[in-house]
Amino acid sequence: MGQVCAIETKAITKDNIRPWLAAMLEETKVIAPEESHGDILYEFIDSAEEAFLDHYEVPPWMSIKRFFFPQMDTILKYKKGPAGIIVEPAVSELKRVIFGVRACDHTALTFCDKWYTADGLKDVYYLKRRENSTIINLACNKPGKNCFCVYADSGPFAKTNFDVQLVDFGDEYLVEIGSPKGRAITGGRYAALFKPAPQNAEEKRFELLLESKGQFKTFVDQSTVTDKLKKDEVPDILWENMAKRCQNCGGCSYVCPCCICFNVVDKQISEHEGYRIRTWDNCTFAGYTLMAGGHNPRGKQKDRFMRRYYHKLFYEFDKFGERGCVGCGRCTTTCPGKIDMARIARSILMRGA
Amino acid sequence: MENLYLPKIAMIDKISQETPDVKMFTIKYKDPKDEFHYQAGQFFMVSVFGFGEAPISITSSPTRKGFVELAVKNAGSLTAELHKMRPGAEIGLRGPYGNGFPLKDLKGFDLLFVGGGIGLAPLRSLINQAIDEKSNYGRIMILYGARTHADMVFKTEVSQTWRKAAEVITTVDMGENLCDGNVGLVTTLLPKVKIDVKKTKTIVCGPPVMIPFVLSDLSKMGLADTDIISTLERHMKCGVCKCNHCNIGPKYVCLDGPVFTYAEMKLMTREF
Amino acid sequence: MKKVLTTCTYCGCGCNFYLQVRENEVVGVYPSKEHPISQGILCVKGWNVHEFINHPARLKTPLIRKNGELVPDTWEAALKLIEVRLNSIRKESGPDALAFLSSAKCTNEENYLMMKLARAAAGTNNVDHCARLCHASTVAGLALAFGSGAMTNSINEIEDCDVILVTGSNTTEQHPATGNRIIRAVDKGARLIVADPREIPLVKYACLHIRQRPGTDIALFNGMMKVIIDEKLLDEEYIELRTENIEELKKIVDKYSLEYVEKITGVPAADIKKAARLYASSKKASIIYSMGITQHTCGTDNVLTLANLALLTGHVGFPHSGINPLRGQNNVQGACDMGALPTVFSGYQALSSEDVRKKFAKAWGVDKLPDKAGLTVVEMINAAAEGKLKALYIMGENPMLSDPNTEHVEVGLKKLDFLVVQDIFLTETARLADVVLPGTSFAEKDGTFTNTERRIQRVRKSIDPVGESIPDWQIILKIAKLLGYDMHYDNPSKIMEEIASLTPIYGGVHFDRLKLFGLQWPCPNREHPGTQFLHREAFSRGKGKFSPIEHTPPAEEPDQEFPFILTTGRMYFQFHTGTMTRKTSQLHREHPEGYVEINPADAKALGLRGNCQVKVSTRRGAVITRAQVSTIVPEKIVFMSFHFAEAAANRLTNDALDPKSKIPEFKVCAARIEAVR
Ligand SMILES: Cc1cc2nc3c(=O)[nH]c(=O)nc-3n(C[C@H](O)[C@H](O)[C@H](O)COP(=O)(O)OP(=O)(O)OC[C@H]3O[C@@H](n4cnc5c(N)ncnc54)[C@H](O)[C@@H]3O)c2cc1C
Ligand code: SF4
Ligand code: SF4
Ligand code: SF4
Ligand code: FES
Repeated sequence: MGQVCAIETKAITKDNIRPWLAAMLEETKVIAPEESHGDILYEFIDSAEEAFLDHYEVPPWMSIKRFFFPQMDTILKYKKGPAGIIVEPAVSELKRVIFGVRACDHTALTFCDKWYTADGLKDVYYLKRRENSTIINLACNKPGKNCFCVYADSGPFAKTNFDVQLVDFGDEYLVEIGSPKGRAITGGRYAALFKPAPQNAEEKRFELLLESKGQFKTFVDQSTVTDKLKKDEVPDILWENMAKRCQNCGGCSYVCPCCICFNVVDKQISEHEGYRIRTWDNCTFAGYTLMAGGHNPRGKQKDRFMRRYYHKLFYEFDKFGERGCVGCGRCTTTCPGKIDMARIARSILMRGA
Repeated sequence: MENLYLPKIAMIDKISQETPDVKMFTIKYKDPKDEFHYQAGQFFMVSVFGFGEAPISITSSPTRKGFVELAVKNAGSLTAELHKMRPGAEIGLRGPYGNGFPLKDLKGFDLLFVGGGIGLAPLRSLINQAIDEKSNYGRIMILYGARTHADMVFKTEVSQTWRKAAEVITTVDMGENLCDGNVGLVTTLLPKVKIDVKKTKTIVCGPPVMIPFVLSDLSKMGLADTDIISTLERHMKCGVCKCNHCNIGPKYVCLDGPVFTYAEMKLMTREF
Repeated sequence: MKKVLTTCTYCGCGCNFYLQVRENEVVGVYPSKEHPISQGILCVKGWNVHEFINHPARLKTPLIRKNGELVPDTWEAALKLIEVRLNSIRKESGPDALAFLSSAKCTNEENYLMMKLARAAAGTNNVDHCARLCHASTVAGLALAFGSGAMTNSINEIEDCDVILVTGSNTTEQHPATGNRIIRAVDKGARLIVADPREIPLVKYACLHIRQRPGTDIALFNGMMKVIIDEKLLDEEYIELRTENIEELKKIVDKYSLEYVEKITGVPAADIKKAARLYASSKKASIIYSMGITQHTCGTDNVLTLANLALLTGHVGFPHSGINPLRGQNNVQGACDMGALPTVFSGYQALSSEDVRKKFAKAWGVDKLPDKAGLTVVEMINAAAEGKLKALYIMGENPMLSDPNTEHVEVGLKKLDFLVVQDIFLTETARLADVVLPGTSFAEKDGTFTNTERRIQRVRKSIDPVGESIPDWQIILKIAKLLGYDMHYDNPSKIMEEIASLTPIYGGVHFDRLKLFGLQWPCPNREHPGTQFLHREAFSRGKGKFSPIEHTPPAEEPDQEFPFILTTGRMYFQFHTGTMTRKTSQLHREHPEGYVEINPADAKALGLRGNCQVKVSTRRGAVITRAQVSTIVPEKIVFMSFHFAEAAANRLTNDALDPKSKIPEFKVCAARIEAVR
């Protein structure tokens, strides 16, 4: 799981990225950003040429969450035969490398790792996929307009826990190796593609990081927000006014790399066989908490909406020391009601003391 | 890595119709090597294949081995399908989950049970355990309210068996009460029992509308908040604290509950 | 293939999203960020569109009725049976004993082929589709007033309006992407007027909510026009230069004094005045309407009245100003454009014109085409019930839930000698068929949909057809062949080439031009960039025409026996007859069953508690459902959605028709509510 081991650094020229991807493709599946109708999207690539390596506004649209926790995932299959019911789990064993992951998404993964192993209860569907993935980070020299990872302490460069992180030095990338998995895809048969890190790498990296940090346009002071939630200082009317703009699209959870809610349903193929899926869910839906008999503990849109923020910024922070928001800004794009994380945090902060 | 979501196959052994919409299922694992290990107050995630999973409290006592009993109200698609099943039919079980009743804390005390409707199901597990291990406890008192006499579950136990070892009073919201005549909400039974508040722990379970009233009445009778124990119910999808459905504030009913003391519940004032 | 950009199959907004594909199954969906409508946003239906596509209940083989039961069989057997039955019915009773229902869910190419099948292969003009039930009155009304029956502006223009009048459209729930533009406009300072008996979610954003009694729209808007004329808020120059018949309008409108209008509509005079002034005095003013206007016996007149209002104030023919009917289904605009209608060919070219008939006959290689106007949806059912119509071929529609007075529909369908249904699920209608053919969902075929703002967009195949299902366009080719008429196309883009060559408004539409933004018609030639808003310098018909309209009461008014007005519509989480949404776990969970909305005062008077069972009855039938006690509906008005087979609102609705467009009166009928003990 990408433990930090003795950090080793190398470099790779930009010309060598495609050959590197091509070499990895010979051994494993590779997911990389692709351009499609103007959108930049992570997808499985069949050839190194498909990867989009030019500059684009970060982060890519839709996070890598769906490669670990798919929108709709078959978790088991059942068959009813003469000898009774037989249940078979369906756990994905596919090995893959994910290239070009941004620090926000990467931090979100480490957050999900905590969630899916919490309380000694391990989610095999998620963890198997995690185990089978090697992640190549790409540090952000220029944040996108909705990004605020720097205030969520999740970027623009990943600090720990990565397998490999690339830092754009112009003609070449600095290659930071952070785990045995990272070693495996930078050493051995791949070693020839790399060269030693440049002399001034550390200073240059530091400069680039500072420069990047200076370019954030969205300011979200998450720790003050968390404090205010804990002290119960946010007036109900704020929640009321925001919640009534919710269009119930579910988008905020679907795009969020830290949202882990799911629903479980069975699908019958016939009387004798079927399968069980889990799907993404969203705590702002009324049916999320509706109980048999019609009682709904969070019957009001306001309560459901508040829950989303309390959960991300308060409860999860208390439990894991990390917030359920890494500042990727995707909910800002997807929320039709314009009541995304950044806007809510700003409104809470503007409410004075 | 063990798969948290993989149910074990179990078989319905016996079915009894408790009320017009509640049936009790006696269940055994299909593989005789599998054994039931559980505590009163825990629940199973019950799979009816093709219809999903639902949390159902264990209603049998852990002192009675080799099977579990589940009392299920027909409340929707899965439970309706379960009600259609016959002995021999196969279902899936995951669990037991949840914290269960705090047996250690109850030892040596008088136990006052207050149940409403199907809420008697989880209580029954502990009631039978207390009866079976009578020497561990003082008095056992059971107050039970149902909507009508027909809606009373576990009638034989309520009207006969338990009365041999415990003090039992019942009531119905409306109509005739063929057990012992009381009509009215379950709260009206509270003044009918004389308890020593220092020596008593109470365990409450029932529909969401009933619980707050009972808890506040008990509190007024002088019971400490830590001596009032109740169970909470939430929409649940996983039972193992992953799906996120069942939180009340920072607590998760599937993991931290479903059993909470009144003191703990008071800390969860906010419902989100 | 791992992700495929395509167009949403639910509403007419036309969002584009990527379907995520794994091993020939669609497992996920996410919006396009760059697409002009989606912009990274979808509604909950779009976000869950993947779940029904590979649903196990999809039809995977043809079904043939044997001894009363539908049983799986081969394509060969099914086609053979269709060949024998259709041909013998045509021989015995003539081509007009056959009728075809096309589908607003299917692609333009498929709709075009369907109308070609009916006209060239079967030899009848009996072809129609569910647009009859939603916007036939729009097509008729706007064609009369402006010469073209479509949204005059584009969805994105709404964002920069000054004043928006929304009437008879629950926009945020039924056209979420468009509703979202209205909210953005309000955020930017636009003022929103909602004229709707129900307190729809948009009311939260409105500066004025007018709650007219259902069926009194004409009076309301005539009243507004009187204020505008009396206060000289009309656009004299525009009227002079671009319109005709103003004097006639003035004559009629004059009697709609505020007192008179208040009496009919129940709307306070001050509100009418305020609305009139707001609308008339702003520059960029748009009217947005939907089925609340069209589904009346005076549907066409309602549309004409709105057109009058817009012409009077010079609010048509500019960006941000216009009349914008929101089309319900993903491709209802396209199905109309393609001429899946009994009186026109594609591009609204009139059947009655001999030149047009000749043009199509020549292109299609037939001697002549039938010239007698065909039957509309409701007329088909009536003809079936009377035994005049013998065979019906239905593609992707579910009249058993979607049509008014479904008990009558059932009688009609059962009376048919032969019913073929082509669908993706075994719908309530398919259950009555003699032969059921498995078509494919939008994810399994190529083609185009035209959204409500006339934007022709690509539908791209993402997976192979499920089971033995076949893309609907290919099924139509097979059926044509059985009827002795050969058509051949390699792929849907070839069909579009034929459409372009015969349909002036689609003249420049070719698949290679349909990139992310599609093309908005009219697009007469290959070089034309498409048209963002209509009637720029002149109306399609030359001058805009005022049509003076008098208020007419609904066909059925409340009385002693049926004291409530029942109005019907749709809900956010479900779509149409629920065939797809009810198979989607999230959507179904949020809104699993039907209900009737009733005002607390009425509920109290009837002794109803929330959630209790009630019987809703009208002169046509009764259904049992739950009562939802809510102030969303005013007193004496109840509301039901029509998604649910168990509580089918359309068992209750009135099939009285608008004489001008033949649209049934879904929006008003008299009803009785009783508690079920
Ligand atoms: C800890 C716990 C113990 C329970 N013990 C018992 C018991 O001993 N006996 C008994 O009869 N019932 C018990 N229940 C309630 C039981 O789980 C629900 O009645 C059941 O899930 C309904 O499932 P369904 O598929 O039949 O209903 P559905 O058709 O799925 O839905 C009917 C209604 O139930 C709600 N619902 C769906 N899933 C759940 C869920 N997982 N939890 C709660 N509500 C849900 C739906 O939102 C809907 O409103 C318990 C619930 C919990 C949380
Ligand atoms: S809450 Fe919004 S900004 Fe934060 S991680 Fe989730 S999607 Fe990104
Ligand atoms: S994205 Fe916005 S509108 Fe959609 S569910 Fe989330 S908060 Fe509501
Ligand atoms: S708004 Fe309409 S087109 Fe867009 S996703 Fe929703 S149903 Fe589909
Ligand atoms: S039931 Fe899933 S988190 Fe508690």
